[in-house]
Amino acid sequence: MTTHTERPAAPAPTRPAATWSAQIRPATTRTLPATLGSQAFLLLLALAFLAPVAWALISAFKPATQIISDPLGLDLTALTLDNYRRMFVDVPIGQGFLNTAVVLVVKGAITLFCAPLAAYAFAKYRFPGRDLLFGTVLITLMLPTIVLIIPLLLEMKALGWVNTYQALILPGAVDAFAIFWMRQVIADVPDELLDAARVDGAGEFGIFTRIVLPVIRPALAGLAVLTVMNIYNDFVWPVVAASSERMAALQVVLSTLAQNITGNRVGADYATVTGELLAAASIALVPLLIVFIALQRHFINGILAGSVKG
Amino acid sequence: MTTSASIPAPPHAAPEPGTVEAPRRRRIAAARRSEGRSGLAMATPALLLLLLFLVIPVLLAFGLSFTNARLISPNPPRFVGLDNFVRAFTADPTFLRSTLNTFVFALVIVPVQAGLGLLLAVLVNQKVRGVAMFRVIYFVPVVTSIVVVSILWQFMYEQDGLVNSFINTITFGAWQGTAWLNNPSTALGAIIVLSIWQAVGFHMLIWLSGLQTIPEELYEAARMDGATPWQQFTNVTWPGLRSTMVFVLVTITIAALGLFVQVDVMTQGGPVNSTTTLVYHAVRKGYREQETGYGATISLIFFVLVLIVALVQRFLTREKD
Repeated sequence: MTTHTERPAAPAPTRPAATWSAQIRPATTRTLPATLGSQAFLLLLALAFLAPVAWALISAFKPATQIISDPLGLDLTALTLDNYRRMFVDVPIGQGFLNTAVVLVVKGAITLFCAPLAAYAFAKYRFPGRDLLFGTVLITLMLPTIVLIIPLLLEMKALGWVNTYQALILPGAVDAFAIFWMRQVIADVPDELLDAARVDGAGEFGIFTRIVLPVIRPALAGLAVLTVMNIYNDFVWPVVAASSERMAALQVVLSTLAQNITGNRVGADYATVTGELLAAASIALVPLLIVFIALQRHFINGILAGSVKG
Repeated sequence: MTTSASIPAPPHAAPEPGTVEAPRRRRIAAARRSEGRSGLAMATPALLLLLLFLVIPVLLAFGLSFTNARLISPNPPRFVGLDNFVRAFTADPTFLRSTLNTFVFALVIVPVQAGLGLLLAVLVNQKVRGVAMFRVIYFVPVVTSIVVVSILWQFMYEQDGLVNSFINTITFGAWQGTAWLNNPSTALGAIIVLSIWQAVGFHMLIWLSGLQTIPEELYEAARMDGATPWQQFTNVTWPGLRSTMVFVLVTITIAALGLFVQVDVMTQGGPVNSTTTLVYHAVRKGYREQETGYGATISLIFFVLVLIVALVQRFLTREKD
């Protein structure tokens, strides 16, 4: 049996990737004429999209007082690391990164394992109550999860989980959408492939890990980038469930610092906090930006596949 | 791509099916008998998580709405009937203001963001140099966390911030801006602008994927009939984008109605409640002020409103034929 060597070539469920590569080709000449004018317009828009981000990244290296007095000026000789230095002393950003990293790894692993596993069961097995259960999953797709924050917090209190990693990790670790999307992808894996493995004596779980997961790798990559982006940038749940200094996730650390701008931190002046805040925002922004630029194709696939759920 | 080409031929496709098939089929059947158990076992971890952290909270929200539960309280929650609902609609002006702000925000955001997203998509769908790069650039704010975006724009909106410097420059000092977020009449508008800036790249991408499903032949035929670019857009592009349009409208609406982070980071609902929203109010009451029962009521009202809006949208965008 040659399943093992041939497996990576099985092209069946690569739909999102294939769709996008078909889309990446520029449309042949049509609609607006491709003129210099539209190119200039594109460039102008690009400036509007990049300027705020670039301004923050650069300003973080300016002396704090200059950021306030001359927000647009740039004195190359005055550039300094003071904002970063002070920020690392005053702001628990290291702890924020650590907390986010822990949540990212554990929650990400749970999502990327449990959702495809359940999706595989829904796509390829018949078991009692399957359709009812999957129907319930579909209904929860329509629920704005922000509605659940208050009751979920109460549940965390009852469990004694407020300000714990469990609270940050478990709620939302599996969302209905991930199951729904993965089920679509796994349904396209040919049954013959699975039956062949079964005949060869593979266990049901072994079929999942050794056949299904490798075959759906492109979609998994999409789900992975989407999951990483959502967890890294998540704010609403972390700020409610774990806002103590020790448990605050990166984005919560940032928002706490931002609220100091209004001047209620003892012994910190406006300029200092501003400098620290820009340094902290920059350092929080850069990792995902680098990942995005390196893996843009996967991001775009993931988001496209992810959004065509309707 | 041919799906079956590289998949190894199943062994039972071998010759002499009568002799080889039977035992194999029995083994497959035996395996299938256990599939009920295996299937349920595999679905269980995910379903358990959904049950614990999605289904139970929903039921809890329903239950809490009719109580006076508090986050920290020596007394057990008491059933208060519809008191919380009555309070929201008759005795809580901040709730009414939050509802108004939420709908104003959504009413502006939905058409403007959808329209701009479509414009960007048409622009980056052209055959010009560098469109791939522009797609990536327009997408940068989408990967930036909304917390960071809010922090940056908070600076830009200050009296002497980037926005006013820019306005000052292009009008040659003729027009002086305000401190946008501190002014009750501009704060919500300022939040609208940054929200569009952050999310429009996402919808550009959705529109783009819709645009590229429209066959080129349709455009060729239209050009042959002498259609202008605008006629091509209204007669070919727009009808071809119908299902994309429905999807874009629904996702923007749901996201817009849930406005929270920008408000929480930048204005805390102020100045004078000009930027408070339903979700912000629910979190403020249910969490910061610890009135869990009332917070759950606001969440429930919010959910019903979202549901109504979704149903109305579905009705308005239904297939007319």
